[in-house]
Amino acid sequence: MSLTSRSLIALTLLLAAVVAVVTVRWWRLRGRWRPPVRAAGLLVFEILVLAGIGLIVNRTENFYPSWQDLVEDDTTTVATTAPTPTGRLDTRLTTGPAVSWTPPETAQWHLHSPPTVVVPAAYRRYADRAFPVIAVLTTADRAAAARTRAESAADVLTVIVVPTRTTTAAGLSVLPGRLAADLRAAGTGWAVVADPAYTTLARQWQSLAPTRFRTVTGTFDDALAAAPPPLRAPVRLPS
Amino acid sequence: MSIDSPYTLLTAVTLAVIAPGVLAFAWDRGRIAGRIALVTLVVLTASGAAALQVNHLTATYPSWSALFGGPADDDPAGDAPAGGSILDAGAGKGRLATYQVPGPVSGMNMPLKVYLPAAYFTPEGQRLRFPVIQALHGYPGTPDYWMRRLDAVRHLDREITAGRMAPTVVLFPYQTPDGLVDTECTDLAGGPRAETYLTTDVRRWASENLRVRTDRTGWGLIGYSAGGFCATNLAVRHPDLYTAAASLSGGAEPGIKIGDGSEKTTNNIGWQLAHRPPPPVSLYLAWAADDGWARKAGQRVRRLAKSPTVVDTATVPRGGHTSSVWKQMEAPAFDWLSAHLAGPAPAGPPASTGPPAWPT
Repeated sequence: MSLTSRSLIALTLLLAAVVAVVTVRWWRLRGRWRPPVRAAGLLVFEILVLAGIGLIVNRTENFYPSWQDLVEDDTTTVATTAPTPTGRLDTRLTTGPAVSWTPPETAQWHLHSPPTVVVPAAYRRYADRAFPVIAVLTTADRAAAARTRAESAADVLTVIVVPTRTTTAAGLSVLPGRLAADLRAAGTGWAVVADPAYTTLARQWQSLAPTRFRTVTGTFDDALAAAPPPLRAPVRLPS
Repeated sequence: MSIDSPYTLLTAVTLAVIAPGVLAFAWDRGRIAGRIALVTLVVLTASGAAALQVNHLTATYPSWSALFGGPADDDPAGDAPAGGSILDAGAGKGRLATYQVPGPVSGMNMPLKVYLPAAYFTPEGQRLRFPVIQALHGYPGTPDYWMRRLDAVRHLDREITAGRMAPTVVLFPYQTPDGLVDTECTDLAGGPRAETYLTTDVRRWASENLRVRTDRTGWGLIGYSAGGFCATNLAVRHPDLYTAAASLSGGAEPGIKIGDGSEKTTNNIGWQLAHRPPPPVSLYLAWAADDGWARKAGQRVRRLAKSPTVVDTATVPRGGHTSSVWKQMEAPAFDWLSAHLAGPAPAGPPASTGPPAWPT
């Protein structure tokens, strides 16, 4: 019989009524059994009434849907720790912090030049952490300044992208996934820093990957301030 | 003996068992008044034992003092943590303290439990402002449920030490001035203004008295049961204040009448997602598969949410609507929140150099 069934509630309350009737009937029982019968009758009646109330509340609120839930305080975690993130390029990132990044899709992005990836020193020191990403959409003449600023940022990966007139958000849509495969990039909390000329492109790009790109902003400092910290792989429940 | 101690419950159960025996033996010797007193004794001892057990399950009254209208007992502070760089600074035990937070705007004046991570006290941490999570309790319940039933401090220490969560200040506010009044974190018409207290008074107090971030990217919410509804509802209603929220077995609508009909509209998450511009917030909705009410609510919110609102869902196979489910959910939820909140940031002009007087 289910813990939340009407029949269990009815049975409990029926038993309470029966016990009440029997207790009243035997209240004047003669001999030495009178006190124990009264006490036992009252006690069982109390227990059944409280159990009935508890069952009604439980049925209404669905606290414990099954006997198993009630009996076992199951804290056995079903959560798992996600695999430690790795980037395909991790072992090759041994030289300076900025590298030219040339995945196979580079030509499809119609960029002025291959993207530049700026890796913070902490990236190598904390090899089990995933880093948030700031994607900078800028012009060729400002790319060097963007790189200099990115190199001073401690806890983010920066990818500097110089679009052309033929660059589209749809074309760039695979870039985040490719970057996340090549480097230990966090799954969310990315930001796009766009020069005014590329704000529309940035917003379109964000709309194609809203779970990954959280913000579009005009300044690197704003993006850096809103970035989540580098974290180890989280504990996860099934989705 | 504390109200929540096993000895208290054992004593109450023992009295509830003895009382019918006393009645059975004394019934024939007593007159009307004596018999009424005996029946009263039996009813009071039985209902008292049941009430203590319910209180143990819900932490509605964390102390005898709270039961009789006084303040709840304070929790002891933990040990001071060790130092290190900010990425290493998570190791160690955070501290939990209770402060009295007045609400000049809401009119509520309630205790606030505050978890300060170990990194808060390191030399590196003294130069930082930390992200904040407001942790909301269910109904009936109090912030103590997070500590006594869900062991939140241990979970936070463990996740931060493991590097799965950034050092974060966690606020455990009361959501009602009366344990018997369910506010669902809303401003009740003619009643407590819990929403204003949580979103304005508590936030302002924390920003002025703790080294915490003040921007929306650094503020998140978490809650279980009614607190889960609170977390999601406040995030959806105040995307200018919060960037992410985690709901553990929360609903999509309040289980109360607010008094102005807004439980069907502006305090109904489903209505808001369907009729208002989608808020730029991230939501984490978790439920047990056999908790039909929370499952339907979570699925409804997921179905109605449109970009830029982002919804992640998670389930445990069974466990109903109980603490055993929320114990399994809280670490993944805290990790998820931390990944969606901005991290500790260099402090600007300090609003505070340390926590307020310890503890009040």
